[in-house]
Amino acid sequence: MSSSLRQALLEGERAGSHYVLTTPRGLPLGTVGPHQGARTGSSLEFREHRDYQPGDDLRYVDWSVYARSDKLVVKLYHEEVTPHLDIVVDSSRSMALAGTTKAEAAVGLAAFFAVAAENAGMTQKLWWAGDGCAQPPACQGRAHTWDLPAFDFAASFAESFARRPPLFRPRGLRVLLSDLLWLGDPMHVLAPCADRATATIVLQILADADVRPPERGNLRLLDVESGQTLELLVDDAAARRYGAALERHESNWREACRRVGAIMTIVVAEEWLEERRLDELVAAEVLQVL
Amino acid sequence: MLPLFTTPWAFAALLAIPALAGLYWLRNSFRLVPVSSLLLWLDQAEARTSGLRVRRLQTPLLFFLELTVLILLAVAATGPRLETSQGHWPLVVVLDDSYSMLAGGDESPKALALEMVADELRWGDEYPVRFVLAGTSPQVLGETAHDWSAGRELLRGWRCLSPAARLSEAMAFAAELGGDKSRILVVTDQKPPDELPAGRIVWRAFGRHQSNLALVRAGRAGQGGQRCFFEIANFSAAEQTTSFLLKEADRSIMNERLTLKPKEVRRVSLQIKGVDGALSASLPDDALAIDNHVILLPEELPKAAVEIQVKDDALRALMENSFDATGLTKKSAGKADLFVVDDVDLASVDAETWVVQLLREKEADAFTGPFVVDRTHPLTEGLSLQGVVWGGGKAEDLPGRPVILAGSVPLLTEVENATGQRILRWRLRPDLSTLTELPAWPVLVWNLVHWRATELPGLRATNLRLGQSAVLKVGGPLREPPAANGTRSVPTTMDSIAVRKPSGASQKLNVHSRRATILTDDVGVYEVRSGDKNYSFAVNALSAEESDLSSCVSGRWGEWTEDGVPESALRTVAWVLLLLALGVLTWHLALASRGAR
Repeated sequence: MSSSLRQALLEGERAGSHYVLTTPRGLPLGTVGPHQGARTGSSLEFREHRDYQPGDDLRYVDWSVYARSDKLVVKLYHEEVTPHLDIVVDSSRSMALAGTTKAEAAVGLAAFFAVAAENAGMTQKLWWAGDGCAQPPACQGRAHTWDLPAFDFAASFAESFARRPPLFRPRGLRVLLSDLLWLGDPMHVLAPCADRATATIVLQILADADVRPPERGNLRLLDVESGQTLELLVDDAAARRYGAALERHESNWREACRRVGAIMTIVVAEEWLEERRLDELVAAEVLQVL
Repeated sequence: MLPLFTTPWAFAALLAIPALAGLYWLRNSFRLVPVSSLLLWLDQAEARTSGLRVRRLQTPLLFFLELTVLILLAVAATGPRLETSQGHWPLVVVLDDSYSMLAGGDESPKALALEMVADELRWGDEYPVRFVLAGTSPQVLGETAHDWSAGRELLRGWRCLSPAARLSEAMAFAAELGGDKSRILVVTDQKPPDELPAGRIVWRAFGRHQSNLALVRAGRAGQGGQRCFFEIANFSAAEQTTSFLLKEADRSIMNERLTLKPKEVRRVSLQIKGVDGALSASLPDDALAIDNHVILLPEELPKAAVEIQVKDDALRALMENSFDATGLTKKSAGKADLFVVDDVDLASVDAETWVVQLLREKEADAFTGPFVVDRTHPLTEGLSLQGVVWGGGKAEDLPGRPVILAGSVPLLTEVENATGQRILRWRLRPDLSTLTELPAWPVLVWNLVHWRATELPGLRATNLRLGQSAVLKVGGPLREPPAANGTRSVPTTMDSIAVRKPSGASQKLNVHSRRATILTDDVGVYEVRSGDKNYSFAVNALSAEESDLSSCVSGRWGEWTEDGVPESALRTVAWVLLLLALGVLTWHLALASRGAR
């Protein structure tokens, strides 16, 4: 692992220590534990009454109301949970595009979220999306001690999911760190991520070179993942179309995220490494400043 | 002599072209730029002005503008009458993927449509073409094709093995896929809906009215599949005679001549005792071959191995008789699927064994209701507790999710643990109950055994229609049981199954939550291997709508007009060319002056 990535982990961990991870709709969910969950559960804290519906847990029928009114009403309680965070990092080659700091931003953000989750009393797990999603062996403990594999997967993030999706813990939070630059239906990745998740947060990490197309002229564009090339005359009009295509691509992802209830934000690697702030997620109440 | 050489001005302009090209050619060079993905650059290939995909000569925009002006002037000087064409808009071809397209052998609608696509599409114009399969749902067939060889490769995936063609949905999808300026070509054997949108869609039908006899329904039921039926339909307008042949392997079971009136559907039912293998029914070959053959495999729900360990003799005998009466159980030899017991150490029970714990508490009451029943639970399907007296413990605490309660007292609860094992706790004091003497008892016991049997490993159905999905349940616990020292359970690795299709192609599918879903897209017998177990299921083309060829037609409807339609005509275009040259020069001037600044 290079020294720049090691430094990025350290800086990300330092930045994350000023934040606490939470969920947009209140409090996190997970296995039974000491925190109060956002959903109905079995703690002692009463939440509300509502009419019985088929499939409701019959233990929570309020028999005193039934005796008085002959109407089945259930009592709802807050549940108690220990929240959990799954962080999935795209390790495709495009994340380590030469001349950019996408890889540093990705590992820095992973460390950032791991620490913010720890501040919230959550457990965390890192998934490395390479040839299938797996936990890197040397990624236990504090983030700055992680020994991360290389960003060398020669296919897309979606392909990694298709080969072996992560074994997410039900009702946990999930954070996806990827540049999302592949052709395909976003739902192939978002649907399994959002399945039985409390909240799903998608961070699109782009380099400055991704946001602003390269210089003008006759270019032979080389796709670092597939090795394919495309020869183009790039002028202002082509650059504008590139911008429009990027905007359309992001819009597709935002729409897909909206459909599954995920939160998406875009991070420009170079800018993030300078400021290390995620104001959009703070505004969305995913992060709280300590 | 060519018209260009009869006009000296045109000739002079032409001479300027190679000189200009030579100047720019010397300036050509490429810079290699690594990018994250070509995804966002792909649509540049269709651009006409800039971002142009390079095929031969790569030059800056100004060169093309200058070259365009020269060509325009040269051509205009000849006073030409040019053929104008606007046929460069993308084309989306909607292909009817239903199996009625196979009717007629070599003269099938599919074969005729392929010829049309090869002959009539203007592949030389290099407009992008996409293909959409219209099956039960629209499906894109590969990437964009820019020439006939790529298109021909893609069309190999057009197999016409769908049980229906939802053309309206496919057309809407094609319009979305192609964008506002796309043209749509529909290829089918049916006539179009009431009215086609003007100017954008051309509908080509290649079907023809043909007589067809088909097997449209078939089924096999009973323990071991001892009863079966077939429905044969005559879709022609005249009386037809056919022979119906039913075989098991090479042994003929039935060979009968049938005479069917026009539009008649004849049902053939028979008992087939002693036949354990696959049944094969067939009709003689006619217009459509795919619907003349049906394979039926035995349909049998796996039996649940039940073990009963109840100390009370009377209750044990009652339980044994009740479970035997369902016909869905077998004696447990080794590991039981269902363990009925009154006192048990759950830790000692195998993770795949469901436990029914009978609770005979001393502090009990005889409940006459009102009973609250969870109607969404499989155990309560068809269960009525009207008039039942249910004796059981009266404490309000009982672990698990209540299924049946008497007021606030749970009488039957169920819980599923992390390994997928289910534990049912059943309060029952027969001495205080009438439950065991009333119809609710066999209903409850049958529901219990049937629920367990349907969750056993194996296929839920072995005879499917083309397009239906086969569901295979896979054995094994969801997770490893918790370790003895109390540490957290570790998820097992994901299982997979191997599927061999009738065509011989193999496929590996992942198993999620002990369930694998297999999509069927071919007729015949599928073989599935899960661990050391093999399963088979048959898929048949049984769709009366597709077998009925009486509504098939040929013809062409709609035209591409105005927006993007190639309407060829010879027109005098010299003035247009001069105007264009003027416009291009203005543009060139603007670009050049901006570059200078």
